[in-house]
Amino acid sequence: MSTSSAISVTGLTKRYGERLALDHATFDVPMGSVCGFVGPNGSGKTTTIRMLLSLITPTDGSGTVLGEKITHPERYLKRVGAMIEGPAFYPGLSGAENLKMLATLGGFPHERVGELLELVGLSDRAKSKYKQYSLGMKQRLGIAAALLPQPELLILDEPTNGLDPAGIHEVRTLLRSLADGGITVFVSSHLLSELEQISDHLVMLREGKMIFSGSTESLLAAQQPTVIARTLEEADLPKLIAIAKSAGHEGIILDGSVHVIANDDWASEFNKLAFAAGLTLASLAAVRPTLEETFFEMTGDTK
Amino acid sequence: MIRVIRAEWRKLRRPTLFFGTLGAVGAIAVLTASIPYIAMDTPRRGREPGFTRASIESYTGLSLGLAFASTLLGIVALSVFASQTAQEYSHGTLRNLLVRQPRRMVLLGGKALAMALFGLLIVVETSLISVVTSFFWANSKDISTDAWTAGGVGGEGISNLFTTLANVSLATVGFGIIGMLLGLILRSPISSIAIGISWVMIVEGIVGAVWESTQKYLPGLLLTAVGSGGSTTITYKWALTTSLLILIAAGALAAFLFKKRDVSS
Repeated sequence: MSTSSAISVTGLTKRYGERLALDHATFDVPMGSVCGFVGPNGSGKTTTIRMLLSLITPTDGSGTVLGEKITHPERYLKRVGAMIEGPAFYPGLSGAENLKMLATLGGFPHERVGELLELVGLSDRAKSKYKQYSLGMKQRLGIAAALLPQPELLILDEPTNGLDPAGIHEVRTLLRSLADGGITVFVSSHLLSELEQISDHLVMLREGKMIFSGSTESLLAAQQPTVIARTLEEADLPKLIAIAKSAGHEGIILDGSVHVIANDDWASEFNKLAFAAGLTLASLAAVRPTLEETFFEMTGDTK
Repeated sequence: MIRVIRAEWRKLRRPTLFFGTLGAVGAIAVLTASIPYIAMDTPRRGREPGFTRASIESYTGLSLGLAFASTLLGIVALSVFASQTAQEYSHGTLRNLLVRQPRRMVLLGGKALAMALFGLLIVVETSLISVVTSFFWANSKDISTDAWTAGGVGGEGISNLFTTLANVSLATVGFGIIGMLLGLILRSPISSIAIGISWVMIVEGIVGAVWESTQKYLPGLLLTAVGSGGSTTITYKWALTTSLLILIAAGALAAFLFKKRDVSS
């Protein structure tokens, strides 16, 4: 167990009869990071989160949360905020009443309720019954509930489900600001593009097996970058291929552009070589694979 | 534990549940307290009347309505306990509760105590309405209430009322615990209430009628006997002891299930 890890699990396994929901997962979540927990639906993300929160018992393996063993949740859950499997509240109570109920149960001051409703933009609907909330509002209330204990670790399961683009942006900004304030955020999502923007650490699962754990930067940096160039005349594209080959890079023509596997800084050199050969580039870009493309490449899946 | 009880009360006191239940219980109290006066001295299919002026005027007359209400209050408690327990599963709120209170036995115990307090509240309400209704009927039918109040608080009438109050309270909470167990096992409010009421009102009646000896072991009949201070077939002492043993076993099973079972969606 590393003391700099907010979450540390070793060989964590959950079996339901014949089905292995999580297969010997081992990973660490650095303290103070935003850690994206990535994987398609059914890959074992929620099962892992349930075990971290002691809602289900692991079949095998061990883990710690904030330095305490997951077999003793009473020692760390007071410092953890969580939203699991989407928001769940009492339909007949208002948003504020639902939060007050949880604040009473957890021994948190009721003043937090008003502050948090304000933070998630629900203060004007605080007295409306939960059953009258839209999906996005329910999601915001779930995030507010998770923040009740002023947590050191925030565990969120698909927090942007049901939110519109503006809401997603707000949640993303909120999570980043929480992490900047020292809170560790462990957030699961199957929307990889969303996590790519905020995560500085990633844990990737597929069919119950862990396929990557490490920094987002190292994962994406390890992927081959591509320089994409387009000439004014499409007929000139084969000439560009030849220029790239003469410089020691392989290229292909795809969708009216030349794609060359090369480092970002070679793009300017490519531009010079093309100009010297009398070719004018209509566009030139150096791109790295997105997290989504990387994920599919690692898993061998197709989109 | 105190925090769990207070949190549970926040749910129990929501107007639709709180005033809805108190309203229903109030109606039950008026009805059951009125029956002896409406049926007074009326022969039942050629048999002796169930209630005579003399029996109502005796010191037990004041608590007749409350004793009658016992089983109905039990049904109300069974329904409330079952729905409040099962809805934690059906709404998915149990996972929130367990994150905020991971000691499962504390959570279960606190919920049970909060609901038991609610059960006691409806019994006290029934008692008050029953007493007021009884005096109203006695006045309108010119029935003497001297024996009810003779000797004041230490007299037979008031003592019997308090004894009935204690018995009905025990029976009501007992029915509630059965409801809680059903809620934990079935995890569905509708199924828990339907099966609980069917068992108590129908199945036990049939089983007890067909095999008379089983009456001494059926929890619903035992709790009914506790509520009415014993019956012709079950003594109060037997009913109290056996129903307590059954409830302890049921509580242990509920605690085991709640502690060990995974909480998934």
